[in-house]
Amino acid sequence: MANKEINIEEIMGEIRAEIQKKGYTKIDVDKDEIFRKQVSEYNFNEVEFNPILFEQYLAELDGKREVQAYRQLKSRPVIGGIIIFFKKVIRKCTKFYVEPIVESQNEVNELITQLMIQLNAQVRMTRELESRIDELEIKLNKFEGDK
Amino acid sequence: MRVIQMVPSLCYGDAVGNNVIAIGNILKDMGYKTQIFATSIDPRVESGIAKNVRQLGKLNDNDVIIYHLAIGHELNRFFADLPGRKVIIYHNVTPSHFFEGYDEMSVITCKKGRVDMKLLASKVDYAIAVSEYNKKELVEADYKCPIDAIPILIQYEDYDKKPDEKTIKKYSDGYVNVLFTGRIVPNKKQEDVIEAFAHYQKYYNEKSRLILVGSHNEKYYNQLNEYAAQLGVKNLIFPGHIKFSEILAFYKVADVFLCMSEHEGFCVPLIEAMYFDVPIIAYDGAAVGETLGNGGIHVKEKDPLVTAGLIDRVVKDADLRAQISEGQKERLDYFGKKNVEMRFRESIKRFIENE
Repeated sequence: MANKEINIEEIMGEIRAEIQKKGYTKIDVDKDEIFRKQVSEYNFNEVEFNPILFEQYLAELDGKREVQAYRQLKSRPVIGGIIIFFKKVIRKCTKFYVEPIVESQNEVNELITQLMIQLNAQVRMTRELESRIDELEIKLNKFEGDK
Repeated sequence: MRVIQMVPSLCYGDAVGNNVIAIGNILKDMGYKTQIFATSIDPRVESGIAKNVRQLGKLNDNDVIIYHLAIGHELNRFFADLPGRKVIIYHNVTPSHFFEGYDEMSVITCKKGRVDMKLLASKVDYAIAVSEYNKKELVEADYKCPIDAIPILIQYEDYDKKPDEKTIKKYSDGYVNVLFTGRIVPNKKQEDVIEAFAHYQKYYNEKSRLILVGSHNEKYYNQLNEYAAQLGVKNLIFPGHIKFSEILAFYKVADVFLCMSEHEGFCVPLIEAMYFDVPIIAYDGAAVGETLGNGGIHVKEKDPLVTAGLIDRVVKDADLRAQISEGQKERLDYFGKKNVEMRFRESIKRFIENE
């Protein structure tokens, strides 16, 4: 569709000539690399639904779902009373207390991720079936309309 | 006889929502007993304008139901099974592939929308497409009923509201403002707008900025930012979700409206740019060329260097700007409220009263 008043082709021609004359070049950036990047490390749209894995993950998740917030502390003898010593003790105690919880949480998170990937695969499968039903429904409607 | 309109969501200020409300006013003015029904109603929509679909009540075979189709939704099939004489207003459904890898929910709803559009072919008695492009899609989907292409009814009076003074002051600083408005989503191809602008800023004018108005999809938005950074773009503004007065202000300060969208069923922002007399450079994709008509500059190929040169030409060449302005005004007249309203009244009356 060309503008009735403006000779766009002529303007474009002049612009192209100017670009050539002045040696303008395209900025070299790999556009595809930016816009095709995977968000996840898992290529989750290519994973097939695996019912055995699904049950395994679910059982493992069930066993690990309860994260222990409080762990039994072993009693330690207190030798001195200087503050730095106490701070070091507290820090050590906190590290001992916090790190296993974080580790457990990470394990749970990893399993949830795996489980969700499997669920995603199943959803995709269901969706494909839905599309097939839709196609058949359209064909059926058309068939009934033609009758 | 009731003439009712149905839409999945009645949103405030969007093209479909405004069209629904405008049609409602016309139907009332024509003397029909009319009401709007939706499954969700934006709280900012004036109270009493629409009701929940649950309050639809019993319909009979004489009633006319006008349904606005723009997305996959359970209401599409609910509408298909209703009694009465059915009209579809097709605003188009974005092809789902644009959202793959970005927004799985949109992939699903768009796929469903396209399937539902085909499914409704044998269920409706009359169809209105908001563009010839949309009409062609309906014909291809085997719609056998009469189809008219009638543009969207635009609420031009909204554009005369007061623009945000602060925004105008902030961006009236001698920089060339290149503008695009529309949701920041992959089908609108904001990356191509950024690419063309990057070349303009590099080779023609450092004192320039790109303003991309619209709410965004997070992943695509992050990619756009990364792309702009790699291209070396300075002064890229994403104002995000802003007040209507601020949108008006951005049109007021814009020097060029640059659209590289690859899928539009109509493209209301083009009309807005025409209304604010902002020269348009647009890629001729989907319904864009049709909406532009003889207004603005159509780009057939996406060459960022040539588009950059065009931006420069439009900014510097007053005669060219005047020509573009003239063409855009002419096109705007075609979409004028009186003209479109008259076409809608005639068409809907013909359908309703030709029982």
